[in-house]
Amino acid sequence: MEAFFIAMAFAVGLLLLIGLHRVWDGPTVFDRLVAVALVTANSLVILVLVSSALGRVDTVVDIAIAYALLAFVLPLALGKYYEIHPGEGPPEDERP
Amino acid sequence: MTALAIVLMVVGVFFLAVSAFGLIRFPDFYTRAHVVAKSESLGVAAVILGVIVYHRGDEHTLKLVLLVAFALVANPTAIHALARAHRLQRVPVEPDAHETGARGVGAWVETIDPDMDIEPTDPAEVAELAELAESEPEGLERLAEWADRDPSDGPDDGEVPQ
Repeated sequence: MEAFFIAMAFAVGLLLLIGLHRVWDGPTVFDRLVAVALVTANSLVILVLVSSALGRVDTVVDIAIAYALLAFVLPLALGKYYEIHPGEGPPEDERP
Repeated sequence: MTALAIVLMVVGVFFLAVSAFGLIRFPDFYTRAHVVAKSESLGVAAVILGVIVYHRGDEHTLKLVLLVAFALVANPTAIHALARAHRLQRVPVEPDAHETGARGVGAWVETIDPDMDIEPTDPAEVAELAELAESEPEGLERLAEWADRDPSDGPDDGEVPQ
């Protein structure tokens, strides 16, 4: 069963790399931010799967909870910033 | 129970894959936000539920259930904040050409189903609107003023100035 967990973690890791392509490619700041949300969610899943594979659920799941809380703050803070300063959003040449 | 755990995890990874490929293939920001908010949340919840079922209620179950609940709430909330901020940048809903070759959501829908039966605009309705625009020219000016207003004046509350 450990091999199954590791295989699932590798599959999710490949999907994480696909999300990283959107972070690199843009074309706007908001596309990058949505892709970062996908990458953090995928790494959360990888943490939970690896914790089961290693048999260290107690410690690694604590790390996963802290990671989920921290990853939640970034899109909220940046979304709120762009709401308060609408003119300072993505530069004109980055708009679709 | 182990079989159920495997089924849940495979279904979850399938939804994560749908989400990742949608992020690559979809033509504009709103469709990408849609696929990450919905499919990604379900995939994360399904995979962690599979891990819960595999461990069959040992002492870590509460932490993992909390993680599922938080993931189901936090991910759509974060994407909603980003989508709202993007809308307030006054970017048009259907942008033009993109690297995928599609022209906005409408053109993309046409490419997946060219035989889609779209209702043509009623010519009588168009004539009525044109007549209305001719009889009230100042109304059109107010609309143009609203469309050209300074975005730093504050968020778009949807009201046309009188």
